[in-house]
Amino acid sequence: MSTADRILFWPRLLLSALRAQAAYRGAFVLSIAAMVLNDGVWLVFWWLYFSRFPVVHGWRLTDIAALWAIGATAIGLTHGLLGNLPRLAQLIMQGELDVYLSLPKSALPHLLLSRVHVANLGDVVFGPMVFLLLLHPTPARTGLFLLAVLLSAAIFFAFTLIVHTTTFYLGRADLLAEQVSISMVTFSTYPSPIFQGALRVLLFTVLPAGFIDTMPISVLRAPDPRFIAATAGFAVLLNALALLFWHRGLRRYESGNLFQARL
Amino acid sequence: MSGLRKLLSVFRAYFRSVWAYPGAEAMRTIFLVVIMIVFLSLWRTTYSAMGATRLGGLSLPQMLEYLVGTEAIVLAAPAFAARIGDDVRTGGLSVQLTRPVSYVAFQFAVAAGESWPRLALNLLVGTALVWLVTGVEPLSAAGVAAYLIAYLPAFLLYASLFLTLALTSFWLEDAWAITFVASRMVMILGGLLVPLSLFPAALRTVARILPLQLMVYGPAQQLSHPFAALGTLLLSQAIWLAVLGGLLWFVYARGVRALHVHGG
Repeated sequence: MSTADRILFWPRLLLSALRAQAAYRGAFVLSIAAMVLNDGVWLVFWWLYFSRFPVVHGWRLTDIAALWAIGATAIGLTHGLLGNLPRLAQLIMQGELDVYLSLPKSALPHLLLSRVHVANLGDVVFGPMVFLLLLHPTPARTGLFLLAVLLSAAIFFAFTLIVHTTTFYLGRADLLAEQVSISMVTFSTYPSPIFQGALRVLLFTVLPAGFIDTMPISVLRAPDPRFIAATAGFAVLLNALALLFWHRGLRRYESGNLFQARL
Repeated sequence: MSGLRKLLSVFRAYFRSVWAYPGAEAMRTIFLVVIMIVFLSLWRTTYSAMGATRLGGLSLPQMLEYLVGTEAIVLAAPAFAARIGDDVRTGGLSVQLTRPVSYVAFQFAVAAGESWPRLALNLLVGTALVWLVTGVEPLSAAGVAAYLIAYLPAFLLYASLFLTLALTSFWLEDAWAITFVASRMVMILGGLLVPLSLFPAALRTVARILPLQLMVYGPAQQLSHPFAALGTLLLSQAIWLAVLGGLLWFVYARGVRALHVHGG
């Protein structure tokens, strides 16, 4: 295998996962449309809210739109394109990693890129659409938007990987992983200033949604280099921790003795 | 064994299965706790920022009561689409249809068996959380009684609508998208996140015409205003139940025929 083939293996794998899902064209389009509509309904909720209460701690409807544009794109990238990430606990529990561990490619990217979760692709459509239509894109703002998405996606990815790899240590932790992941997403979609006291500390440490729901103000509206640097540092640290959890956890993995084939 | 007794047995079996895994059920309430903490933070900030003691006719404790009521209903709601979609894809439907009990009635019994204990647990956890964090007194007995009276037809309405949508799996194989969209309509027009009293006038009129608010908003507002306009609510629910029940019967009859055509 040439170097180019080795590099191109991962995008080709993702493409084939996408093609596999797109084969069911009707369901593919319908699922994406349903998620776009879901995200849109949340914007309607905030429109209803801000039509009665125009400002909350300095936040306006456009900031919420930015929060959803950034958050949805980041979730779409991590949970949609890496479709096995939100199912990881289940795969570990059922001993379904064998097929990836027995192949020469690195197991983690291989299993993550092997499946696309179609519904979350709707988030990847919705986020940029909101940015382009509602948030006055200029080259500079587009750069900041992409930076915010990258940082948010890195945090979502590492956090989700950590909670799912707890299955290696706790055994049956799929429901816990699911609930904690949903909680992270939920906290990430509300304006950060409404959370005060101990909860705010929690949201910048254990459940790091605080970094994400501060992005519209500190990255997009009034870029704060210190916040951006701190968030980038945190994202790197969290990803390192996630990979450590994964590799340590793998040593505890027990095969499910399932016969599976990757075609 | 009469049909009703069979359905009661199904109800009892699923009711028990919910309690058989208390750890898993407790885990399910994590999201309720999270969403209530979020709402608590949001509405506390809103009342304080507006300097108001009442918004949309509700005090802050009443708003939280209302949101416990709506979230308890929706988070306990049955997931028909996944179950029926599985039945269709795996071919298990051919076994389900041969049971000596109506398929639709069976689904209602299963839904009630799973949803009702979850509703009780959600109400308990939500109320306890609000009480702990705010010191607000727990729900009144009259409020809970009125809520439960309105909940029964609300549950039947919700189940009729979502079972009808899930039955489209007979044609589509997967009704996830269509039920997902409907659940989002319930979120807004059913008053799950914001009470109808806070809607702009035009949207409130639309929401009042549709049956979605009878499934969530109607019962939840009984918690803060026990027995207020309960008769009117029950009458509206009964009328819509006849409409959605008829639609369910029609879709099921057509769906079964379509299945037979394909060789079921």
